[in-house]
Amino acid sequence: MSETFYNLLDSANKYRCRKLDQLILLSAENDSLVDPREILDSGEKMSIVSES
Amino acid sequence: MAMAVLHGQTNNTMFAKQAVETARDTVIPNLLTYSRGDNVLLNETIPADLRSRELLYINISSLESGVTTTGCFSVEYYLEQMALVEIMTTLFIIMVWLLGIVFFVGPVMILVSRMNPLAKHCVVYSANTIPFPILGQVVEPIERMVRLLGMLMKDPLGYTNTKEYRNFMQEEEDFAEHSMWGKEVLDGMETKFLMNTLLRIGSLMKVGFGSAGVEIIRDNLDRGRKKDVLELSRQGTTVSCIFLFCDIRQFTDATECLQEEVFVFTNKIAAVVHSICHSYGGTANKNIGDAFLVSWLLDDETDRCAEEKEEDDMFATSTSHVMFSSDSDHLCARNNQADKALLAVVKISIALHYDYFFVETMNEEARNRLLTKLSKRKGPIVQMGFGLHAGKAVQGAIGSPRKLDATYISESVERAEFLESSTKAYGKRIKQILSREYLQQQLIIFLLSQVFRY
Repeated sequence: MSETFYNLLDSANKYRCRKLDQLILLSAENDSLVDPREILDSGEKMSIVSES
Repeated sequence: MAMAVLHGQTNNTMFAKQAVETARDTVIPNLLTYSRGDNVLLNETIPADLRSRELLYINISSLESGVTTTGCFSVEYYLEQMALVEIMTTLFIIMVWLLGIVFFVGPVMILVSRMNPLAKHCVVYSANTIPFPILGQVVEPIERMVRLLGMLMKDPLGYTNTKEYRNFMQEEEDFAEHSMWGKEVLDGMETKFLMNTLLRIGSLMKVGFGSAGVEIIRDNLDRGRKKDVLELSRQGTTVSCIFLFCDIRQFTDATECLQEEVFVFTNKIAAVVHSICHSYGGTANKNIGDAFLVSWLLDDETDRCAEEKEEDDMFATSTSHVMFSSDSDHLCARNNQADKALLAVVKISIALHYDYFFVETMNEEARNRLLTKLSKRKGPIVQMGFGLHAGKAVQGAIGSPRKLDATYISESVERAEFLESSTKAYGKRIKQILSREYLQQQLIIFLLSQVFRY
C-alpha cells in the first residue's frame, strides 16, 4: 500500500503495518540525474507500506 | 276501450252525464275531462303539477253522425309504474354486469386499477355478498410494467437503489401475498414475463458497467435525457477514492494449462474478490483480464477530517519525514474506508487458500495440468498481488454511443497498479529490486528499511 493510503487507516490498523521502502518519483526533467544525493533531493517521495 | 264504450253510451243526452260519472267511478278514475261535440259532460280541474306528457287526450269520431267525443286522462300513475319497471330493469342489468365482471371479466379488470388512486375506494361485492377491495386483488401488470419502464428510463443502472423501486418491490410482494390469484397464475402472465425480462436487462447493464460505473453512466444519461441521446461531450467529475488493484499471479501459465476452463477459473477468483470488496463497501470498476480494479469512494474534505488527521499523525508509528503527494493532503476517510479496504485485502488473501473452491468445477485433465505446472510454487494455487493507493481521480464515461465504458482516469490508479507490480519484486532478492528496468521507468526504489520477503 502507499503511504497516502496508510495515512487514511485507523491508528489501530497503522500499528499492524510496517514501512518497507521509499520510492522517489522522478519527473522527466530529472531523468538525467545520476548522483543519488541529487536524486534524493529532487523527486517526490512515496513510501511503500505492508500489512505485517 | 272505455272511451269507445262511452262514445256509444253518451249519445243520449239524458244519460250522458250519468254514464260518464259511472265510468269514472269504476273503470277510468283518471278521466279528467270529457266532452261530446260542444257539450262538456265532465270538467275536472287538471292538477298544475301534471306535465304535458302525463296527460293523454283521446278523440273518437263517428263516421255516420260526425260527432266527436274527447276525453282527457291523467297517465301519471302508468308513467310512474313504467319508470319503476325501467329502473328495476336497469338495476338488474347492472347486477348482471357486475357479476360478469367479478366472475368472467375479473382477470381483465385486474389490469386496471391499483395504480389509480380512485380505485382505493372501490369495493366489489362477490356473489355471496362478501366485500373485498379491488386494491390488492387487482394485478394491473401493464401499469406496473409501465411504472418499471419509467424507473428504468429515469435511471437505467441504479434504479434498484431508489426508494421508488423498493416501494415497487414491496407492493409486488404485498400484492402476491394478498392476491386472490395464485402464484402460478400471476407468474404465468405474459406481462410478468416481460417485466422479468426488463429487470434482467437492467441487471445485465449494471453488471456490464460495474457498480462504480453506475453513477458515471447515470450522470451521462441524465445530462442527455432531454435530447434522448448520451451526452458524451461533457467533462468528468473529480472524486477522491481508494484504489485497489489486484492481479492474479502466473496467469499466463494458468491460461496455458486451463485453456477454455480459464474463464471458469478467473470468474471464480473475480467472484471472491468482488463479493468480499462489496461486503466492505468497495465497488468493482474494471476487470482487465487477470486484474481487477476496485474503488472505495472517500468523503469530501472537511475541517473535522483535518483535525482527525493531526491526531492520527501524533499516534503514527512512522518517524520518517516524507513528502506526501499533493492530493494526499485532502483525503478524508470518515467511515473507515481505508480500514475496510485493507480488511478486504486480508480476507481475499485468506479466501485464496481454499484451493478446492477454485478447481472443483474444472475438468480433471485441465486441473491436473494446472496442478502440475504450479507444483513447484509454494503457497496456494491462486496467488494474487495487491496494490492499495488513495488519491483524486477524474471519473467519466469514455467511448461513443456504440460502446461506452465508465472509468477513472488518474495517476492514483497507475500508482496502485505500480504498487501491485512492485510486490512481485519483494518476493525476490534485493539486487533485482534495484534493477535497471526500474531505473528506466523513472522510478528508483531506495531501500530505506528492511526488505520484506514473502
